[in-house]
Amino acid sequence: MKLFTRYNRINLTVMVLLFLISGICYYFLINYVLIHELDEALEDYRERIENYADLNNELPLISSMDETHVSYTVVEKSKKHQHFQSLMLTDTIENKRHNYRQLTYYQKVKNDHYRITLAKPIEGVKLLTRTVVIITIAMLLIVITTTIVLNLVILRRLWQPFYLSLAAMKTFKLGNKQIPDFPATGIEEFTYMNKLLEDTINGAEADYQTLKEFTENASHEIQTPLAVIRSKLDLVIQEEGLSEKQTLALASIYSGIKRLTKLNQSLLLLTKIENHQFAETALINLEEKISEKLEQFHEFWQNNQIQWTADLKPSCIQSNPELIDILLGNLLSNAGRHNREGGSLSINLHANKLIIENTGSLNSLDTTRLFRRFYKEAQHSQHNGLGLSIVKQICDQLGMNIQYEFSGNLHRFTLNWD
Amino acid sequence: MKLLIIEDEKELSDSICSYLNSEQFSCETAYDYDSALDKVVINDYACIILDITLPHGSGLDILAKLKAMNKTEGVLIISAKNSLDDRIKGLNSGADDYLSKPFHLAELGARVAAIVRRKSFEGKTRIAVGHLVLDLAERILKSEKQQIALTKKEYELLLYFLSNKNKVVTKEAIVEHLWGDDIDMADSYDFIYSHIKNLRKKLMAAGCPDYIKAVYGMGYKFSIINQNS
Repeated sequence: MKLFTRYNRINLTVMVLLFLISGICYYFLINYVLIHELDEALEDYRERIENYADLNNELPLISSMDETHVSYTVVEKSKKHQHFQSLMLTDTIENKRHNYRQLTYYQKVKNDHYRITLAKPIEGVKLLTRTVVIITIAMLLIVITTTIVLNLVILRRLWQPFYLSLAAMKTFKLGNKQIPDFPATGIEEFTYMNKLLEDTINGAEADYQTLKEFTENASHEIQTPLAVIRSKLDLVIQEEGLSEKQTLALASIYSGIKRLTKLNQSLLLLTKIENHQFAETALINLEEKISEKLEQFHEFWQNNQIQWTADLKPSCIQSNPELIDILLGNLLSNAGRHNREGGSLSINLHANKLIIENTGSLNSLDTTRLFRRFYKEAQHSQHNGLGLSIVKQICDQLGMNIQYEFSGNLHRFTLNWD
Repeated sequence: MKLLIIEDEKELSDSICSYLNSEQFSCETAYDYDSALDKVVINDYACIILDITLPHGSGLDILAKLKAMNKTEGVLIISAKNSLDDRIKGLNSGADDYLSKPFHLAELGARVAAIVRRKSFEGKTRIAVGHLVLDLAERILKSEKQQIALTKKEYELLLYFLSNKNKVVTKEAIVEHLWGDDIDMADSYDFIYSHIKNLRKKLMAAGCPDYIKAVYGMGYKFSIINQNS
């Protein structure tokens, strides 16, 4: 829900409630005032009757011209108190039932006790109700329209800097080194918000930069000692008369160094992909590229008795050559390495799709963790578990979609692109 | 022929030196930008092995100075930065080849030999292998009487061995050289054995002694008395 919608909803509900309550209050208040006025008029009337009775020792004649209905009833005993009541009476002239306010009191004239009722029509209650309702509705409409217009024009304009900042934030991507441009605003809160955003972004960017540089520098720094170790090993094996034990130890060292080198290169590669250091693109003939890779791999597969088939249709892609090379290398090398002796491997290239299927372990890979860094099927594996993570990272970078399926004992990786 | 190794990591420089030092090559070393520049200006080398990150300067600047002086030395860049960008930058600045650290010394040997061959004029397209001759232009092995057909891999293998004569070369280095380092199967290098076996057979059939010696658990050594032809 949008801020304005939310705000309007609350605002309008409150307004409607407020106006209803105030309408009701008005009604009762005005009603009360009117009745009070009537009561005073009736009391005035009573006083006049009493004065008349005191002077003339009789009750005045009832005038039918007066709108006040007066009636005298002889009763046996007077009561002290007077009381007011509202009731419906039939108007004798109009012959319509009408709301009246009636004062009842008792008076003794000469020796007789009278109960005197004075009734005046309560005028204008209908009118009053109607007026109040109309005014309330009219005011409501006016307020609603005003609110909506206000929101549309003023609020939207007021909140404009906020939305501009939002839009600016949307373009921001960590590692792009581009700080979003927040428009200057005269509103203190927004200025404060923009400043906070800017500071946060600058901080994050600086941290990210440090981290990136750290990974990159660490990897580079590791390369040199690795180069030293490897070169020394290459010299040591030139020595004549190495014992069998020494040779085996050296072979282990070689293999360790190789893994370390590979790991380091993979980490460096991941960092570089994340840094978008592979931006330039070229038109790549995938059919040709895959054929080259097959040329490179097929001997290794043959050696492991892997039956492989390739169905390559012409396909070209505008992409980064280095990344495509690494992507294909990783996928094909995985398909061979995680295969079993006498297994099968098939590569299908369509115009916008590449499918690589291979036999291997009899269970599906863990699809939730498959593309995570350092994911390994078996912990003691010689591989660093970065291969698929690199594949995924490259796919993301190149805007390709990669899916893994396991069916019919085949592990299948499908790549789609536009 | 003289080689110059410009590399600030002394240990690595020493390793390269002792590996490449032979009847054919003698190595000089420079550990920083200024001493490297001095040596480059005064002497002529068959090949310069150049690290990019040096104390007090960049290897690329040395390369630029070389080109400005119209020197024709072959230059092999060795760098810790393995990226296409750096590679292209280096090669565009006039380097002949680019090798990223860490590398096998055998690979370095092969690259240096290739550069030296390319730089030392026409006559060097033929390498003697005992009484046989490997013709690099035609990519075939010839004896006096006949031509010995080699597969692409056998040819590359033989050339690699010849560039690292009398040195133990690991299977790993051979695989990386011939198949690229994508082929990353942690332990099994068996499939190179058939190529070695075939090459050895062909050489022996042509009347050569068994040049290719297996070194237990390690790799192979191509032992041949250097005729320096």
